[in-house]
Amino acid sequence: MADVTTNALRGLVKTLNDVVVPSIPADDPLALQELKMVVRYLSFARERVDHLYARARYELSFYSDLIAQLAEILGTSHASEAKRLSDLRTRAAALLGEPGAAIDDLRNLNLEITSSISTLLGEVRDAEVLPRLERAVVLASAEITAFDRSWYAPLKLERFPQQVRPLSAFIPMPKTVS
Amino acid sequence: MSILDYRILDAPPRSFIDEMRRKYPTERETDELLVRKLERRVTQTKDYHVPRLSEMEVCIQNFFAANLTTPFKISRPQWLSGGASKLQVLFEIDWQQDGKPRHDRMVLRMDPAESHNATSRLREAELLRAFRGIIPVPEVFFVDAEGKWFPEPTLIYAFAEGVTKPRATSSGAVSGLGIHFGPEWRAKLGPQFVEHLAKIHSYPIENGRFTTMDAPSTGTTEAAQLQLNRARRVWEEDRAEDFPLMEVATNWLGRNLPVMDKVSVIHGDYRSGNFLFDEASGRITTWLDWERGHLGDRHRDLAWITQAMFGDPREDGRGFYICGLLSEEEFYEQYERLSGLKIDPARLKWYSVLNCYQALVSTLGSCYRVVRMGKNHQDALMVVLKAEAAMASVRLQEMLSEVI
Repeated sequence: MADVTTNALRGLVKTLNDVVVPSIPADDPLALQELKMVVRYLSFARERVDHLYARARYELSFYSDLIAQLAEILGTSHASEAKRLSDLRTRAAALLGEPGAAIDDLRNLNLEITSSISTLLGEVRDAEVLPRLERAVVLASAEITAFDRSWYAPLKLERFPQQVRPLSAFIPMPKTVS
Repeated sequence: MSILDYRILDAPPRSFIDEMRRKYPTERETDELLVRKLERRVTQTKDYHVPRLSEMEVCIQNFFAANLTTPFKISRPQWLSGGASKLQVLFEIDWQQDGKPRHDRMVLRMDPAESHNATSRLREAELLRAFRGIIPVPEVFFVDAEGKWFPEPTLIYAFAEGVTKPRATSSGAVSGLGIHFGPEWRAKLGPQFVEHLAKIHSYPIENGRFTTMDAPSTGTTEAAQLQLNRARRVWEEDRAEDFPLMEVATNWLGRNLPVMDKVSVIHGDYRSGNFLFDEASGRITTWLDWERGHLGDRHRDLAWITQAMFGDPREDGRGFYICGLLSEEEFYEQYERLSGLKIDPARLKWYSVLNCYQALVSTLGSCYRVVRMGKNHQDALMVVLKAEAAMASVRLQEMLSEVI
């Protein structure tokens, strides 16, 4: 099946660059700046639109793994918090195992998990446990932040492109953008 | 444990506003600005639109008609680009001052209905007036602090000639970030860049007659706490989603607040892209964008300036030139020599984490909320800046991994 979406985005970028940008009056630099940003974002969207579902799965999978680590640290000394995280982990595993799970469901559960982690980090006062929780979050976050950097690389703001890993290092990329 | 409630953040009730004020006290004017921001999320109508240039022309005409007693003529209004937060209109005016005819090019700098950075035009005017004659800054003509004549609070100052980057470079395409100056311009501009910063940080604050800024107490952690409170409060008010790394950063910053030894004027956004220079003479002609200015710890500026996001990778692959202008060693050595002020590595570290945190608050939180609420003139720029958030989160993770 022809990919009409990426083809359309390519056409939009071309027409904006070839037809609309040259028509912006020289005395309206704000309009030109914003138009160039629109073109930049549409080009980015074209490169990423096919991978939005894989992104949602990747993020949920990442945070699901993280809450498993955090639940283990909480252990029996903070049993109720640990159980809440374990329950979320179970729900994530079920959703990730569901063929064709809706992207909104993946995203919403991920929102729930990240909120739960954030709340936990703000509430735990145990001087033994909190540093271990924080350490686990920081160490694990190296991966999700590297993923985000790779995801947004086509926006071309990256100052050190040689440090950016390819998106295929994080998510399956079965085809190249046509 | 509940996910973010968008109904509250999109239309915050009074109880939420009060809770933010109670949990995160900030300096007086910052508090007023943040309260105003949230109140207007509710009260502004959904059919809000970015003002047309023709509407701005009418406002300009009405403003001068009410504030000048002698004849004047406005001409050639046009939008300006540059910056990532304020609406700017360039216009020309023939008028009289002290009985003498004048012709000026003026810049009208106005808040959008909601900015990714809620700041004060009156404060910006006070800072520009304080530094007139000390470092190059534009002459301030008028301030409409309450938005009486314009749709939002507005500052009017002199247009300054100059460029933000050499015309020969294609770098720094977004808001002046990551400009490649090259060796010739580094040699010309680098020393001025440090000299002007040293003058700002050495400025005796009692000379400033500042009415909008409160000076934090020396020998205490108040300066750091106020800045952390501000950032955290904006994160609570604006963010799109939770990000656990930010919670770790909040905890670490709160546990390690540094003590301030001396109150300085802080520019707040001192970097390449925020000064203009004359390519013929090689001189910096003006310093702009004082909107994040405040009284506080100089390490806030120092850590801001030395962020990788403003840097230019070195040709030898060893890190980056600070703001594209100086090596790290050159910058620190020249700064200490010219200002007579010491750099404390521990405070520099703390403010580096805070600045990265602040960058994420803006790019991950406020930029999202501003686009969602539809009250800004640079929605496209706001969404592109998401890429800056990705880079800042990498940096935050790296810094936290060294201290957690």
